[in-house]
Amino acid sequence: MLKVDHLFKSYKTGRITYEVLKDVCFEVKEREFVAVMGASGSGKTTMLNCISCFHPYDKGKITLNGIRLSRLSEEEIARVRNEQLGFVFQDFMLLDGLTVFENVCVPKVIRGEDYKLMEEKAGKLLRLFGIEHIADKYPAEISGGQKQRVAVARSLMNDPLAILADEPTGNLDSRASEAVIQAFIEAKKTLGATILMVTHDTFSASYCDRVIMMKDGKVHSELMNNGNRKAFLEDLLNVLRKLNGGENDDAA
Amino acid sequence: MTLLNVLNKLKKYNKGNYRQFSLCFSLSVLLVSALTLFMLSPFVQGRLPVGGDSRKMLYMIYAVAVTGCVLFVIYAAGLFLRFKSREVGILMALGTAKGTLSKTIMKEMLMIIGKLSMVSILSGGMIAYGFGRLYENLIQSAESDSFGFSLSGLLGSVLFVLAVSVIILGMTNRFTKRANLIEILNEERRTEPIRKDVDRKYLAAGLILIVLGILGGLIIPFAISTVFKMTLGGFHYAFYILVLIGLYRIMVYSVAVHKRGKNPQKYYRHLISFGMLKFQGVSVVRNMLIVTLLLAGALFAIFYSATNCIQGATIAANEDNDMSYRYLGDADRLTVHDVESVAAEYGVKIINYREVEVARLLGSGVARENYDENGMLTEEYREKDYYKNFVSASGFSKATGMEVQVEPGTYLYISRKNNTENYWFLPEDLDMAENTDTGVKKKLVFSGTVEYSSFFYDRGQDGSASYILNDEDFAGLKEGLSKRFQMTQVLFDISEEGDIYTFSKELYARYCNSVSNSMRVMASYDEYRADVDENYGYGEPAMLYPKRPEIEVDWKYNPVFIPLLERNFVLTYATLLLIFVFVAVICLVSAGVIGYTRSIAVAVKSKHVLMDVKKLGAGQIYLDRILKEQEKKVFVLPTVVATILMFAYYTMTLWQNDGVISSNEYLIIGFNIAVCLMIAVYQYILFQLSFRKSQTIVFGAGTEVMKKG
Repeated sequence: MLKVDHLFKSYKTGRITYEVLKDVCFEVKEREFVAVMGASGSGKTTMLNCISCFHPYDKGKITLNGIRLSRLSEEEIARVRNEQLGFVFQDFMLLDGLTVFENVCVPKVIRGEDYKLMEEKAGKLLRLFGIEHIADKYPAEISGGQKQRVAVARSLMNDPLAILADEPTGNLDSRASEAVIQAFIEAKKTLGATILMVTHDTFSASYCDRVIMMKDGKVHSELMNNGNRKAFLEDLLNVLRKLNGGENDDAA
Repeated sequence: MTLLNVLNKLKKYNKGNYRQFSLCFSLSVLLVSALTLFMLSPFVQGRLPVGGDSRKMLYMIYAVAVTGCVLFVIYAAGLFLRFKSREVGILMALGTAKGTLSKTIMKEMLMIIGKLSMVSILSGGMIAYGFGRLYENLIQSAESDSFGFSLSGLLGSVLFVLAVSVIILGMTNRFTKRANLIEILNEERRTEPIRKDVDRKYLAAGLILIVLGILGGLIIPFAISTVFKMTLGGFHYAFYILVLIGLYRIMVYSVAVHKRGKNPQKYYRHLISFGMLKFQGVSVVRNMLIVTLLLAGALFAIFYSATNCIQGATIAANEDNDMSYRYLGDADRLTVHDVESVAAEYGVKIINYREVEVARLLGSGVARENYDENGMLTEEYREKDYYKNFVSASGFSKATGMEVQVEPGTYLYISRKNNTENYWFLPEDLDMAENTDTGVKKKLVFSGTVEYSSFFYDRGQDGSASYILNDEDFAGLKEGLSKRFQMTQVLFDISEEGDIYTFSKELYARYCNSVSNSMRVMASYDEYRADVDENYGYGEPAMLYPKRPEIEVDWKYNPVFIPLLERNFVLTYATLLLIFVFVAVICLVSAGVIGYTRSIAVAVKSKHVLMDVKKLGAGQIYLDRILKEQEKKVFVLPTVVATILMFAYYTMTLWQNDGVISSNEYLIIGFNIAVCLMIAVYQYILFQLSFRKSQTIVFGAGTEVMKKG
């Protein structure tokens, strides 16, 4: 459903060019919950930003449900972001001037949808993630974990093809992190969401179906979850240990 | 709920940001339109001195004020967009089309600008009208004209609004058109560290540039003109750009460099505040430079007005007689009885009325010109230079009560009290006087100077210079002199009682009406030079306003009436004073608001770090100190640099004018020091206000109380 093909991306700072992504290839299937892991500077977030069309890339191909994103006009990209992608950011990115309920409604507001449908869907999502009691509160009045669940609810408002999450548990404690991951699992189970999550958190990643390991701007390895979360967590820790130790073993 | 509802709700939530931008924009438009409407009013234009330095300075300082306001608006718009970037970024990330958002923001900006422009121009007009009416009342205009606006004033204001609107809309367009969404999302939190390699050499280069700029712009041109009698032309002003670059370097160094050095204790004490400010370096330095320039503009405006005022005030203080005027022999002059009868009408008593016989003889002199074709300062001795005023020693002694001894063949030069010499005119330049009616000439030698201001007309140079001759020499030269070269100097004092001002005004009117046509000449007019000089520029008759003594006239025989000088002094300089004060206010307000908002921005950006430091165990006093040290930087260096540089520059200029510092100029210097101190106090108050606001922002309300408690 989401396919990244030979993706290259570099940044220029003064005269120096940093190659951040070097020939990245992978695919995410429908209803799959995939995590991308790797050390800082390995290119995880840059790759996610390229998929989100937040910034352009140098070379390669990103297709979403067969549509090549780089060929779309600005207006079409905006529509894709609104209707086919959902976003969850590390620092929540909620609009401080709107209530929780209103924040969740924003994607449908942008779409210009009927208010009845909008309210119904928002209410359903708030209930699904156990945050209906804070619907009238403002972001400044709720906890970090609650903010992130609001962001997850918002990302699902337009039933997107995929949710792109950038370090969604990065600013949260372990309890709040678990609540957010449970929200993703719930979204996948109940709503059939496809999720691509960039994370540093091995515990969160252990709930995913698959983990893509990145190193130095390339996909280093992939790990499949065979249903045993504890064993998968062990595997992940082993691979990460090797990655951080600089070994080149093929862990897959 | 629609997108418009969402945007309106966000606007309501961010009203502080909108209020700040609206205030800055309105203030700029209001100040510029008030200044433009006031300055370009026909009423004010008609009363500004024609030509001369004052008008030039006025336009220069006006340009400074307008530039300051433009920079101020750009800064405010940048800050507004920066605070708006987060919500714009989120809405774009969630799928709002760039075009839709761009249109909405542009429309919103246009609405704000449109509404505020109209209100601000209107308010500016009201302020200008208020000032105008005040000015009108001050000068107690006898003529029928009154203060009103001109089309050019209105167009000027509209033009300013259009110019800043184009800039703001351009900035908004650039902001919404940016492709990188991550940049927009992170705009508010973007750090701006100084990336240059800044070390001691960088600072030294800055200091050298400042020295070079001052040398090239001020000292070397002066030295060259003094020593080599040569002028460099206008290009030397370009050297002042070096001063600006040098200033920028010093400010960059002050923000970017913090070394362990010889005092490690101090280094560690300021470690956190330096480290935090360094990451906002680019914008902080930019703001510091703008604040420095605005403060320098304000200081210059105040210094210049003060110079005019002090010099004007001391003219009256230095006079030896309450009233003095002159008549040429062909005038239908006022007699002592005429004067006494006018005085009696107003209950004023004439005291010590004297008339002194003066001969206007063609004197020799040295013509000094700025420069010739080769850029050299020229000196040309002329046996026939100007008609100058000569009085006999006995006549002078009788009129003034000062005993003077003048040997035959010599002369004394009559100088104004506390006057200083300059290189354009020297008392000893005269060595020959000629009666042009009889052709009798006499060689003369300079023997000294006598101070008596009532014989000192205009600047007392060239055609207005006065000399004392030995009685016999005077009699010999005066013999056969036609009436038009015979002059009578009238001197008297008046009693304290009676309506002195109205009497003086009436006498002024009668004096103006009694002068002959040969006396209706410009201050620089000279009969001889008018005959011999090609393209003579002072031949036009002088415009007299008998009922308007407050108008500064370019008239050789302008009388000196102390009561009028004292009363009219404020009025004569009222226009200049008002405009210069206005400009100073604009510059100070702009500098204040920029300093204040920058401090608040520093506080907002430091909030998270301060909270982290708090978690590490820092107490409130320590946290306050970190915040204070950062904000101090925004205020202290610009104040120190602006006051020192402008004070030094202005003092140098005073000295450079004629190569000396006169007693009046010492007074001006003293006043300027006081102004510098007042500016420092103003900046200190602003610093305290911004610090208190920042405390509330960072630590919440009641921090101060908590600390004190």
